[in-house]
Amino acid sequence: MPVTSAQRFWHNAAREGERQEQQAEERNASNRQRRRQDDRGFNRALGRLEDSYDQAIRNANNTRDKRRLKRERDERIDKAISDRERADNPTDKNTKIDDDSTDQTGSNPENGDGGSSDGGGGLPDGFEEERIDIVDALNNPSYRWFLTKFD
Amino acid sequence: MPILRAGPWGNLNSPHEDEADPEESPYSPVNCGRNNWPNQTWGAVATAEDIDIEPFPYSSVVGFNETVTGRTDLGGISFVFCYQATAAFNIEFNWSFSLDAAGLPDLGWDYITIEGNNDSYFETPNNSGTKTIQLPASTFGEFSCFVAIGSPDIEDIEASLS
Repeated sequence: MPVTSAQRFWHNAAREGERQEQQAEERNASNRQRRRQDDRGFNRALGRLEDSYDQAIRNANNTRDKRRLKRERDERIDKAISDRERADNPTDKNTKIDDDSTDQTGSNPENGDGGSSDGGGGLPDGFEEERIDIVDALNNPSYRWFLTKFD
Repeated sequence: MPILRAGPWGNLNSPHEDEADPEESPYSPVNCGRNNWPNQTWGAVATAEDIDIEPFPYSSVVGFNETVTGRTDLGGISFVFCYQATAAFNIEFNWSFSLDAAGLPDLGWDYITIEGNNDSYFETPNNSGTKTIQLPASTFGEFSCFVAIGSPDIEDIEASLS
């Protein structure tokens, strides 16, 4: 039976759709990997900053300097974290990319508004950033940001 | 390495408990070494106990340098708290009472950590003094100490942590 032009069109369209889907998947995987690398780099940088302050705090020879250094350390860490959160959450929060083959606007019902959110900060699906108290290396109360997920 | 916070109250068998009434709870505050948490002041459950003087035993939460007092002829004062620490730190246990030679005082302390470290001490103390106790680093430890007297007469007794 001869192949009609309509059949050929739909066949090619399907192939093209598969190709675009494959490309989008590769692009998303690459983005996720880059994001993980960025996170690790950011956490390492914060760790180095904290270590250098901890060293300075240990070397300080009076309580006033120690308190000042602790305050300065906490302020810098807070600022670094909030700067990063701002960078992760652009002003136009409706714009969401990389979830599928085309950029889409979450507020548009045709683009699957009912789908799950990634938290707006590039986090893995279902995970949230949560601030959790810790005891730091000097027995001081401090905190860290953790990725958490509820079952 | 940092330690995740436990508490706010707890004990070795249950490190994550809500703050509770010290009169009724088997738990005590979980402290960050010698420091306050941002939303929780350093504390220990102090209990003054006597065998026949009301309203003893009486428990409350006290901080450093808060003196607990009691009047007893056979009883004493004890403290208990939990802690988390990445480095060892010192606690001072202070006491005072007035006993003559007929009195029988005793004093002791002990700690145990979730990692299995433990130590304890007991002595017949002088009428007043201070013991410095080093508590080891631990993801969760529990410390308690007491001073008690046995006397023919009712005596004043006081104790604190610092």
